Amino acid sequence: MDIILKLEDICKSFPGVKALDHMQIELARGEMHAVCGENGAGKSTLMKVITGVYKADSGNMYLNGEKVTIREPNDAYAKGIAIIFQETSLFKDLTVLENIFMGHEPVKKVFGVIPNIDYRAMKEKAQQIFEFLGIDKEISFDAKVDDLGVAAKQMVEIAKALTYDANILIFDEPTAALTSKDVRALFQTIARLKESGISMMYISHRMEEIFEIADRVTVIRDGSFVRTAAIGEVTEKELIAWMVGREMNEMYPKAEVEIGKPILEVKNLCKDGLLRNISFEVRQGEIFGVAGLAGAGRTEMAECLSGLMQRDSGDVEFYGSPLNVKAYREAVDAGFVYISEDRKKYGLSVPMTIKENLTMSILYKISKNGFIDFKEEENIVDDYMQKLRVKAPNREFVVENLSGGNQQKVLVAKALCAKPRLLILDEPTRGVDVGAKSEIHRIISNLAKEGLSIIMISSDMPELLGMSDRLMVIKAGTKVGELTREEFSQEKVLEMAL
Amino acid sequence: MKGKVKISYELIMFLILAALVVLFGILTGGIFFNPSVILGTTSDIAYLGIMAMPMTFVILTSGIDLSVGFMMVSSAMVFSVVYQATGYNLLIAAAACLLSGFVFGSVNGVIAARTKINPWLITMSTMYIFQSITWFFGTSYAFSTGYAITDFGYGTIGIVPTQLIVLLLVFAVFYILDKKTTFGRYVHAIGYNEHAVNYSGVNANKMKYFVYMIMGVVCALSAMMYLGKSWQVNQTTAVNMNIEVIALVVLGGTSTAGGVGGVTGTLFAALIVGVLKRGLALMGLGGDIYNFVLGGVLIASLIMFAYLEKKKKIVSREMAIKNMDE
Repeated sequence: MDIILKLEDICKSFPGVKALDHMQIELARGEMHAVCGENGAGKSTLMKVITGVYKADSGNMYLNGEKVTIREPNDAYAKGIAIIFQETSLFKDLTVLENIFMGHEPVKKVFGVIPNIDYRAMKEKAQQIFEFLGIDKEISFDAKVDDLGVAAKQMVEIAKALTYDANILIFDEPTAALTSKDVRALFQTIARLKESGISMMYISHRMEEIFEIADRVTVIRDGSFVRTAAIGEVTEKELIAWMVGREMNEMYPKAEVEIGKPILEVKNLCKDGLLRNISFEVRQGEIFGVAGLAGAGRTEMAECLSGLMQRDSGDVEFYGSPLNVKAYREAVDAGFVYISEDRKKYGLSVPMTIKENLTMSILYKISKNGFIDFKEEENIVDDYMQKLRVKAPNREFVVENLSGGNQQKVLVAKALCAKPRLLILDEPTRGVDVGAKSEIHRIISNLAKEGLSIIMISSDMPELLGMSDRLMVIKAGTKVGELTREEFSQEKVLEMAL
Repeated sequence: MKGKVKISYELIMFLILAALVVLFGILTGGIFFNPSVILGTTSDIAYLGIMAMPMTFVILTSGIDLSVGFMMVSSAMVFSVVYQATGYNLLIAAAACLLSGFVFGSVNGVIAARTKINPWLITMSTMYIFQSITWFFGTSYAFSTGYAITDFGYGTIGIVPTQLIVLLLVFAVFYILDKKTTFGRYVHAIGYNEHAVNYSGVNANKMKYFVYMIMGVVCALSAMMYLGKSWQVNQTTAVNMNIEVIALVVLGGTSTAGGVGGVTGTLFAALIVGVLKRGLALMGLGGDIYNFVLGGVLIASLIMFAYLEKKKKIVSREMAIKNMDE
């Protein structure tokens, strides 16, 4: 096999996380190579290392058998490697032609001295590329990119890559936002590219696509290489098993809890374009897991229930009475508390102190005529800091300077001091190190033991299976199914979610 | 940390104020140390200082209000018209004036709370509306001594000018709002991270409305003082006044990025500017020199503030690292 690109022993760490751990991959000339793995397995990091967005901590990269280092994205372009990102990187107020030559416009000299953009040369080259892609009839050079549809924008991106004479193209979930008709058109283009000898890498969650267009597939898990296989020699089931891989070796402190009556009943929850007819119930003392891919609508569901977003239709009953909140405050007052997945953006105000953050949602309860009762505030803060073992010198410590795990504990404490009857945890251990993670799991487990009902949204499969009593799987805004603890298996959940 | 005096921005401001007083005292051969002179320095800036207090709150929420000058003059004109029409009834005129300030501020507040338009653009637009109101009322309104309003703006209680007392009272109210109430906490929190405020079940938009509304009411209060001090207003009175008010807030160490700062710094800034203005005038130096010096002081204070903030960050980061190791 003629190997055009080869990566060996690639390692890349971010503070607290090992994103890539001795990863390897090789790409043959003219090949369509799929890369798959779970959310957060390291696929995007790998692509960013290849295209010079990130610099690997260690490891080697060979292009046509020669060792190369790619310092920045322009280096990658110069070497013929281009990436088509999930979100397009086009300038929406410029024309198609200006976009595809952005940063490397052909130049001619006026009077032999003044450099000027050579529009004629640009048009000629663009014409060739557009004809090759078969889009010369559909997309006008002078159209503003903002006026194009998603699919057309993607084609412009591909054309842009080809202006660099790229011979390696990387697609990062290109079909995520496309309709099935556009997907067909994209696949035709891909076939054309392949015929002309361009090598491609293709990141995707969608199994059926991988089996349709890929020649080989590489599976990545927790930043490590699992296996590369020819597509004809592997089944979908095997692929999922490789992606999930790890054994349930982490111990989850799941306490035996007497599960009571249903306290929350959701019927036909709908939100235009995001959620369709989601129904479920949660019982007293239960940890109810919600699984699904990123963008499946899990967070939106939580926000629609808690009044942070208004639902279009659907009935919600909480402790026997309907819960129709217009604002999040009403939900908090009813004992329905949501903890955001994005700790730094929505959850906490990180430049403020632990004290100020912790009491933000109950400040009105501990004040009289608008004047804060500082004594009571301090008591509450000290109490919860101790209960959740927040490691900080004092309550006036700025949250920004706490570790991720301790920030998360402050966030949980902030929710708990509102005295919830139901807690929605959205990605409770994202960006938290292993030690703090198990501590947070212990906290969650204890809360359930005390009779608190919990909805836990998580992309961390072992966590979800280890902690939940029951779980439901959401895919593209609809409920795919529900599993009881006895039926739990990572393969089953992933199969439903994909 | 313990035992050592913490070098805060406010402390530096106080030292600068003291140094300026001493400096001008020496340069003017002692005239400046005369209590009536030194207390009188506030009469040039009290009306600006009063407006700078709510402006501090506006800027703490990472907003801005460019319309303050014309809000002030429009409500001053409302006062004048009602004052004359009611046969110089101070109470009714004052109520009408405050009400107009409330309405003007509410216009800004409602737009700032209900839309996502940048406050720079909102208040720049409403500024033109308030300006046109001053043209609608007409050219000039003047009062000479003998009216109650001039006593309010020009009088003294003992040797202390009424204006200084009003400034300190307004400062005290805003200081308490800032430090003791939920409103003050929310104002800072909105400036730091508005999302987190909304995700805590607090209606950040309502708070923003209050901030701009209060700004309008205090502009009206300032209007009455200004009338009493200057005895007259006309359409050009408010030109550049918004910049003068904002300059006091910025000089006082409140960050336009939101969150950081407070009214104590603003008070010191107002006092410093008052001393500078009067001191330079007593030395026979004109407005051009004053502007030059004020610009220099502003730049110097901004550089110093940035330096102190950076140092504060380094110290707290070091504490964070120490905290990790334990």
